[in-house]
Amino acid sequence: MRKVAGLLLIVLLPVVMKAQEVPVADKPVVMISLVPQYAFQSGFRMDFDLPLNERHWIQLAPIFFAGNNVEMSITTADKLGGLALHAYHRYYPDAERDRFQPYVAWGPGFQHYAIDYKVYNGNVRVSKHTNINRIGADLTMGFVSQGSALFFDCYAGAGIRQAFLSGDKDSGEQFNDTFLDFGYSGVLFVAGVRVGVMIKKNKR
Amino acid sequence: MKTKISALILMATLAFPLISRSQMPEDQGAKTRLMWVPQYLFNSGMRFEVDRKLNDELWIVASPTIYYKDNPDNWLYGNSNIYGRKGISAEAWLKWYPEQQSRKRNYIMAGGGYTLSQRKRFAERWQGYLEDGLLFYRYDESYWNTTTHAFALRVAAGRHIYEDRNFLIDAYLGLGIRFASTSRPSGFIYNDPQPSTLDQDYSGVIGVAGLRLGLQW
Repeated sequence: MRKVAGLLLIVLLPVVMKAQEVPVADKPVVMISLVPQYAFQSGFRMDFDLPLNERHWIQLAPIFFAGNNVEMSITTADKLGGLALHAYHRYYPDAERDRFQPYVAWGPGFQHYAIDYKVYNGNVRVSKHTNINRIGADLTMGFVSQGSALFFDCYAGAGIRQAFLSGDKDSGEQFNDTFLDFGYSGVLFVAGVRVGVMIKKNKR
Repeated sequence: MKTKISALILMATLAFPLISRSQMPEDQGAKTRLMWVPQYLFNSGMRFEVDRKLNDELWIVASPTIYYKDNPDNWLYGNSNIYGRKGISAEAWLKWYPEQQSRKRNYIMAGGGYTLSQRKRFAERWQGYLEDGLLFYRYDESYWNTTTHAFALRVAAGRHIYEDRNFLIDAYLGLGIRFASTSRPSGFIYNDPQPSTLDQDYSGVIGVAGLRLGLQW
């Protein structure tokens, strides 16, 4: 009888222990963040990070641009409007969520800008309008702070862009001077900070 | 009070490596690395390297690079005569870690590869035209493209200078040799200077130096 009880205890011990396990860290179900540096380009970017599993996430980054007198390297946009969407696949090589969690992210993006501006024709300023459609892809690496509902994410990497101009596109070089310009085509440095909230679901 | 603060700073400094090490996972199991080589941005290049472990001592590295810029190039190399560039490069390295250290590992790497690049330049050329039945020549300013095929062999020594969890920074230094062949359209009056060792159309001994940062898992 004792032997049977002992055997039963050994067999059931893992089950009993599992039942007594304390809840582990909450599992994030969505991360919502703002990317403040886009404000320098009259842009408002809000990111939504959605988990596929513990290591793989999808990051959707819609951006809205609107502003008057937006300065670029060569010209100033009297009026700027634009929409963009970037989508990234994020991979966290270490699923353990403590301190700063490193990750790598890659994905494509599309941007559309409508720009009203003026150029000099002799001594006369002439109004112009150019539409820019730009495609590209980025590969970045970064760290996300963990341990709180509020998180910070610092990232850096490289990307590539190709712009297609329409409208008054003959003055396209005005939008393609540095990698910060809306009509830039080429390889560029990508870096930034995201700050946001991590919405969690209790994982038991 | 000042002494206490000094002692605290000293203790924190001494303890930092222990603290940071204690928070790192065992990195012996890393088999793959994805490393960004940021200095290629100065040449309008986007380079990410993939390292794959072969055994405890040997790793193989694939280094693809894309070069692209559709406007005058950056000023860092004084190559203001370049008005745009396109290119691809494929290189492979073998890395050998002679010592089996868990951190701050030193390595020797050797490898090479091929680069195809096209650069847009601006210059004058003679252009013939007819006027009143007579053939005249005049200067015509125009863009022209060079196409460069380059093969390079390199050897370098490097060190993992910082590791934290999956994050890794390594630096390397060495030298190599490059054989470049550049084709140019005829009829132009070229004003491009002799290429320096940093230019893609340079042939000869080259220096190899760089910094890589990325993740390993």
